[in-house]
Amino acid sequence: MKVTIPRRFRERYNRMVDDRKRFYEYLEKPLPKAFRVNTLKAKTKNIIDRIQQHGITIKKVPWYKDAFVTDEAKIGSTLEHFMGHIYIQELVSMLPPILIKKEIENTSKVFDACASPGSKTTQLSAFMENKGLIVANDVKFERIKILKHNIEKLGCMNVAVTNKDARFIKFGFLFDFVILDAPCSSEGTIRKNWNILTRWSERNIHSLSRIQKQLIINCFDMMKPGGILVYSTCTFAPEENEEVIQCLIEKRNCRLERIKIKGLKTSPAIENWRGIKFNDEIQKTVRIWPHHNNTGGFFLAKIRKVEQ
Amino acid sequence: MILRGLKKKETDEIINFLKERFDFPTNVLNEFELMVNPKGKVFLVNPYVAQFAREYTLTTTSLPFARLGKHVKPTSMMIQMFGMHARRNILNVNKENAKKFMEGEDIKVNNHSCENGYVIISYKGHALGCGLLSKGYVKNMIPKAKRMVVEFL
Repeated sequence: MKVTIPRRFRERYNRMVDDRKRFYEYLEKPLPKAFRVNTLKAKTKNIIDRIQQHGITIKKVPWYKDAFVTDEAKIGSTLEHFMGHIYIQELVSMLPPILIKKEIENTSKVFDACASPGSKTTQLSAFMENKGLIVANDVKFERIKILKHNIEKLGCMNVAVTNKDARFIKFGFLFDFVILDAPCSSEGTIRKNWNILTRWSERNIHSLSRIQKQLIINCFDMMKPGGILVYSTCTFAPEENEEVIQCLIEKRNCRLERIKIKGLKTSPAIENWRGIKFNDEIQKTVRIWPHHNNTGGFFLAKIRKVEQ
Repeated sequence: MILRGLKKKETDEIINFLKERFDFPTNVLNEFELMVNPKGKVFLVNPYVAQFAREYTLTTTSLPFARLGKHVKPTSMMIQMFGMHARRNILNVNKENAKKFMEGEDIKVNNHSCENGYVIISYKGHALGCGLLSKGYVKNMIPKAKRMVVEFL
């Protein structure tokens, strides 16, 4: 399918990407189907054997042992999907929970600020083996339905769902971890939804950036000193990525942690944008371009709250 | 949604039902707590969620476990999660019936040793969900949103 990419879009990203030709080439390619095994209900080895017995070819993902890709479009019509043994999820969307997998404990309290449809919530629940607490929140009531559907189907028993605006929500205790997969302009998901480009505008990017800055400040304040916040978006726009982290660095006492995922090609953040030079700490955040790993586009930051 | 812990009488009712109906080893539930909403819907949650639910109003939680009323009604989600521990009233179905059941259809069964009432529908060792057996027919109890066409089984 030929995609018409807006001129302003090209102007923005031509100077940012390392290989323009491959970048635009990959934007036009459909995304490979990816899924992960839900270890709350099944063992990865058993599931893989069973899926292969169906005659479905799958490939391992080098950076996540429970994730696989397949060319079979009907992977969602398997017994394993019905049973909640597998969960269909875009590969880059699996990254935020992986960033805290080593630190997370079975007694941890985690806040998932914009949780619906529950991909990251259910992944975290599996990492925590149904122990500890995950408060999965979403501001839109109509999106809670799919979140509820997924936590039930995947057998998560450490999840409490709330329906509040994460820019203003407060609890009487502090969390050990926060996952903030912020609402964004979704440029990185163009490969699965071409309509993103028809709605694309810089005005929308600026409006989302304002919301993201409010979200990150409140979510950071909900965390214990020493806690970790993972900020992510599926967009390329610096206003929604580096600029949001810059805002947090200016307003709160935090330290960024370097992100390294073995087997996944990442690019450093951009250093400046439209005359603004970003703080050097921001170089520890990463961008994932579609043509580097044959995935969607993504941005990730791992931020630790400095102990006073 | 306001949740409260179950009264001893309510807990006993559920535990006795699971033991009598499914010969279910209820010790597998030891590390969880049962909570109920005002409509009688019972959820199985871990102690952290239970503590949180006592202090805050939730929109929902998981796992929907059973419904209290005139009698205990188990959920398909509970059966999918814990059904493999049951030792009684497990109804093994063939591929054709398994497919129909997952699509949400009621199924006709014969040659089984289950008593009328709630049964665990099982296919190749997988507990697919809960059904209500009566006169050789199983009424489908899989929630509408969870039903789907399964091509690979």
